[in-house]
Formats: sequence, structure tokens, C-alpha cells
Amino acid sequence: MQETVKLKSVDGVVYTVDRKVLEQSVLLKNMMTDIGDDISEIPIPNVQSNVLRKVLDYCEHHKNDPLNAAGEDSSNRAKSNEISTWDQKYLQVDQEMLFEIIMTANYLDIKSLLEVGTRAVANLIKNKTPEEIRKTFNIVNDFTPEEEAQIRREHEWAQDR
Amino acid sequence: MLPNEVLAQVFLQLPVEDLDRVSIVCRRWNSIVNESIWCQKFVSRFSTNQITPISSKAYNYSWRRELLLRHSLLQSWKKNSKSIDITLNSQLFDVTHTVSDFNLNRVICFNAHKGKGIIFDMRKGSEIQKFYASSSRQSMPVSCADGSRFAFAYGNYDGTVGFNLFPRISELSYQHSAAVTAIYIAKNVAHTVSTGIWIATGSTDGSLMLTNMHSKRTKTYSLDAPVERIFGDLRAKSLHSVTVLCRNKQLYEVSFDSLRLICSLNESNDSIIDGFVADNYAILYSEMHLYSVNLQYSHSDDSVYHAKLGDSSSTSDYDNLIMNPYIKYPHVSSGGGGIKTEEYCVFKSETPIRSISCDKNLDSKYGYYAVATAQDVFIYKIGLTGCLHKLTKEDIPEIPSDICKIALNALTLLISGFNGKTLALDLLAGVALRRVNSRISKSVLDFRAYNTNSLPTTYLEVNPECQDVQCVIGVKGAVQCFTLKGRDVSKDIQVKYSTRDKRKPVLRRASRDSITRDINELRAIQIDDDDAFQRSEAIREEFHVADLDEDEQLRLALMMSESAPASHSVTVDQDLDEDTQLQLALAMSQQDEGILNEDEMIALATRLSLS
Repeated sequence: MQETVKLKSVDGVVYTVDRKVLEQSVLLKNMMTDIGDDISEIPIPNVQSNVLRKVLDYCEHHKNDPLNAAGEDSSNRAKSNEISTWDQKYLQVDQEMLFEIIMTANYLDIKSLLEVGTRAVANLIKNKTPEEIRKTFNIVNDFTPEEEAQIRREHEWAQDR
Repeated sequence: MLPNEVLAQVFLQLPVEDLDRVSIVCRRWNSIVNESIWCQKFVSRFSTNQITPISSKAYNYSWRRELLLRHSLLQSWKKNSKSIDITLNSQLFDVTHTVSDFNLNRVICFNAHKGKGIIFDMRKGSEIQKFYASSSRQSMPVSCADGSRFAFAYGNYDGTVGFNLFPRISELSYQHSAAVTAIYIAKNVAHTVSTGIWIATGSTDGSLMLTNMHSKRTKTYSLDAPVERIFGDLRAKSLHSVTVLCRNKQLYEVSFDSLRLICSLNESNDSIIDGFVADNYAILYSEMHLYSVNLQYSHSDDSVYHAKLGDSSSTSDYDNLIMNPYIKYPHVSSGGGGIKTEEYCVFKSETPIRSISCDKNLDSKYGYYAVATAQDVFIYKIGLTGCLHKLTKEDIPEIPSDICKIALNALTLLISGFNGKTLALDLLAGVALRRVNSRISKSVLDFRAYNTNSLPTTYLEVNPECQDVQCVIGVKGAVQCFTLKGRDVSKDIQVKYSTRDKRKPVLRRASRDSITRDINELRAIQIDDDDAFQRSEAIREEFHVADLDEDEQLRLALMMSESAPASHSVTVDQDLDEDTQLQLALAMSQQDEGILNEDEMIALATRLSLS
């Protein structure tokens, strides 16, 4: 069995990666199992090379993490709501890149990265007022003033802090 | 922006408060935070979706509401994570009444026979204030007394009714023409603030007087028989009427505007001893009988609540209840006004009934109550006639003597024996949580020459909010406050309900598990405060006049700023910690639309907040 696999981003950049590293992606792992040794190059549609590089960096760093324990681990970590130092540094990117990473992790089904990514977004939302959240994510408030007043009344429990 | 399913994962990582807030951001986010997300959040928080709802409004039941409610309960638990176990020397000899304000950690206890009372801070273990229930400021026997967070009132044998507004003793009084026998003072804080403090008093000549202490509105009724008891609905969020029991065993509903005869229990042979009113049911007991009267269905003559004689082994009601929280209780029209006593009787005891207690938590839909004879404890649900649990002597080996008092809230059952031992049980799981020996401080012991420090309980109460599971025990000469956490006794006490394993509805077990887990979570926090006990040993003789504490002022201010026009809004201290604000917000959101007379309210607040 080959030790490495080639991944091709949508803009044509090819990365050669260890199989073991790629096995963190459920999608790629299944694909590699299905296709077997004949695999020479896997095209990754919709993912730009810079994002793919970033995601592969993550997989590279976490390649020795116990895989099967990830499920239980994640629930424990979710409670503590902490992100490890390396991951924190890794996620110090602009918002657009963060979203791209999360979407790629979602597409490739890399559970731990998806979790870390969503948690990073959650941290951006935490302890903010709705106005602050809109500003952070460039969201247009599409409620009519009456609707917003109504919703605020329904949710006054969470607002008052 | 991220796709909906990824955003949903983001939201699930948010704390409960933030999750509730994101639905205000925009339409799309609002649509993502739906019941399914709340359900998932609930499962991740409590590891089960098999629950018995605790929110009271069944039609408002949602995962969101359930989660927010539980979350806030746990939050306040954690906030007050300090364990209390103190004994306060009441110097009253016999504590006949106690008003425990668990939110403010205050116990107001008094001895009606001596006409004296003391307000304690149950957390610090110190005395706040003493007061006399007489205009002459002397220790004088009073015939009856009642109190609330804001006020204390007493009735005397000469017909005087005295009224004291805390924290300053300000006397207001009026006169009945004969001895005052019953007194009730409105207790719900939110409602009191909106309508003013009002009291109801009854006399041996059958006169009944309702007085709003603030608006000075009074109303006098004349009944056929001496007034024996006045009850207010313990679980009502707003209260405009009281239920009055007369010597001739007639039950009236009385408000400022109307007087209505509900029913007559005079076919029963024995006289009514005591009871309570909750959820529109009057639960009354005589020496051997327990009565349950539906106050609402007795409205018209031809619709009478019909209850079969209680069968304590019946469990079908209970199973139905858990499966279907919207169960309708059986009501049978009996045609004509012929009300028979037996129709109200739910339980006929072999031995005298000793004590009765009801779950007073407004947000719990359980509405349990417990009835104790000397040997057994029966647990009922208001409105159902079948007994849910029967605890017998064999189940409670820790209390070898006869039971004298019980108390319960939605989670806990306290049983106190004549031997001075009090046992706290997990109501649903039937596991012992803690055992407490009543004790009084040594100085009192020496003074009174008691040869034991274990005295029968005269008063027992447990925090209805289930928060911090605080309990208050009154014995001769002392009041004891304690929390259930901090000591794990379930290892050495084995108590189990005998009926427990016979039926195991799946849903029921799940709810029991989740609540047990909550309690375990509480117990994990272990702090003991022996200093408080030491401090409480000091007996102080001088009188203190304490002002309202910060918390109380804030509550009032918040309530007012919510309902009063902007021009009268009161500034709220922004430095207040998040939890308190959260709790306040929750309390307020649940506050019903009270009848707010703005001027009344401001005047009341001014009076309460003092200098």
C-alpha cells in the first residue's frame, strides 16, 4: 500500500500527504478504502489551495491523536469549552479563513477540526449583545422593529445581563 | 456565512444564555435556534430527554423553557454553594411560627404564646432584630400571628390586631369586637408590591375583616360562626381572595369584593384541625380524615367535586400523570346542591394525623403534598385522590420514635421525629440525603436545665425553590438552619421506599435519575462553615434596627422599573453580578401582570426602603 496520497485543490495545487494523516477525514478514509491502491490523486472540489494547506497542517499536527477516542473526548472537551494552545494559535486567522476551514472540515468530515472551529466561532458570539454579534459577523438585522421588540420580549431572560 | 447545519453546531457550543440570545440577531439565526436545537442542548446538558416537565404552565411547555428553568435553578444553587448548618438561639422558648425567606436567607420566628419574635440572618447566623407583638412592647400572649417578608401581624384575645412593617417596627392596629382567632397576611412578594400588603383577620364573633395596609381599604363581613382558620393559596402567583374555615365547618371564599360559601363539611363527625390551600384545592385534615375540596368546581351548586374514598394502594393516577401531564381529573355532577362529606374525603387514617406539608414552589408542576401519621408518611398530589407513595416505619428506621413534623418541596422530603432527629429524603428516589439531630445552644441548655439537647421539632420548613436545599427546624429555644449538601450520608443510611420497585414507568425513572444527579452535583461542593455556628452562639441583648439589604432594595427597584413609567424608573446597580441579574430577570418574566397602582407602589417602596 502506498504511504502517501496526492490531494488536488480546486485551483490546481497538488499536495502529497501521508495516508495516516488523511485518515482523520472520514470522507477521505472511506474513499481510500473503497478505491484502494489505485488512487493517485484525489481532487478536492470547492477548496482553495491556501485553505487546504491550512487544513492539512491541522491533520499533520494531530496525526498521532487517538482516533477512536475522539468521540468521547470531544464531549468532555465540549464541556470544558477549551481550545488547546496549538489550536488557538492555529485558529488565529481572519473570519473568512476560519469559515473556510470549518466548511472544509465539514465537507471532509474531520470531526475534531469541525469542533474546534465551531467552538472558535461560538467564542466570538459568547457574551455579546445581538448588536455586537451583528457587527462581528456583518449581519443585517432583517427584523422589522415590531418583530424585534416582540422577540426581545420573548427572550428577555437572556438579554438582561 | 456558514451553512445552517454548521451554524447549528456552533450554537450548540454556546452557553444557555448566549444560545437564547442569538435568536434575536436575524431571521435566519432565529429559525436555526428551534426546539430541536433546544432539545439537543438539553440532552447535552442533562444527558437525557426523558423528563418530567417542571415548568408549571403546561401549555407553554417547551425544551427551551425547561432548559432555562433548570439552568437557572442550578445556577442559583451553585451561587449559594456554601453549606449552612447553624443553630440560632431564639430565646423564645417555643417557636410556634416561622416565616423563612430563603431568598434573603432570613428567618423570622416567633412565639405566639409570649408575643415575641426575632428575625435571624440564617447565613451569617446572627440576629437581625427582635420585636414584640404587642403595642405596649411587652411580652404578652397573642392568640394568633402570621408574617411575610415585609410584615408581621398578630391578633390578640382582646380583639386587637397589630401590624408591624419590617424592618422598622411601625405599629398599625385595628380592633375586632371579640378575640381574634385567625390571621392571614398576603405573602407573595411580587404581588404584594403591586397591590400593597393586605391582611385578613377573623374573630370568635364571626366577623371577618380584610384590610389593605397600604390603600387603607377595609371590608368587613359577618359570618354565622366563629372563624377558625384563614388560608391563602400557597401556589398562587397572585392572590385576591382567601379561604376561610368557620367553626361550623363551612368553607368560604372571601375577597374585597365578594363572599361566597364554597361548601359545608359539617357532616363529618370530627373537627377540622388544620390544612392548607394550594392550586385551588383546600386540603384539610381532622384527627382521622383527610379532605380535598376543589374550590373552583364548587363554584356552581350542581357541579361538585367528587372524590372516592382514598385507596392508598392505587397508583394508576400517578402513572397516567407522568405519561400525560394534561390529565383531566374526574368531576362528577351530583345534581342539586347536595354535598356529602364523604365526597371530599380522600383518606381515612387508622391513627391520628400529625402533620401535613405542601410543595410551595410556584414553578414546579408537581404540587405534591405529604400527610404524616405517627408511623407513616403518605405522599399525594393535589387534585389526585390516590396515594403516590406510602412510607412506613420499616422504610424509615432512622426515626425510631413517632413522627411529629414533615416538610417537603419538589425534590426533598423531611421527616422529623419526637426524638429530635430529622431525616432528609430524596423525594423521588427515596434515598436518604442527610440526618440532623436537633440541638440548642449550650447556654440555653444550662439555663433551661434540659438534660438532653435533642428536643422535638416544633416547626419544620424546607426551601420551596429547591435551591440550595435549605431547611429550617424549630425546637424549643432554638432555630436550626441547614443545607443538605456537604455531607453524604447515603452511604450509611439505607432507606428505600417499599413500593418503589413494584412499578417502574420508564419516564418516571429517567426523571428521578436526572434529579438525583442534580442533587449529587450539589453534594460535590463541600464547604463547611463552622464559624457561623460559633458566631451564632453569641447571644445579643440589644435591639438592632436593620435596613433592607441591598438585594431586597434591588428587587424592589427592578420590579418598579419594569412596571412604572419611564419617568419613575429606578436606577439599578450595574455592578450586580450576572447571576443575580439573570435570576431577577427570570423572576420578573414570570411575574404575572399585576394590578399596578403606580402611586401605591412607589409609596410602598419608599416606605420599605426607609432612610
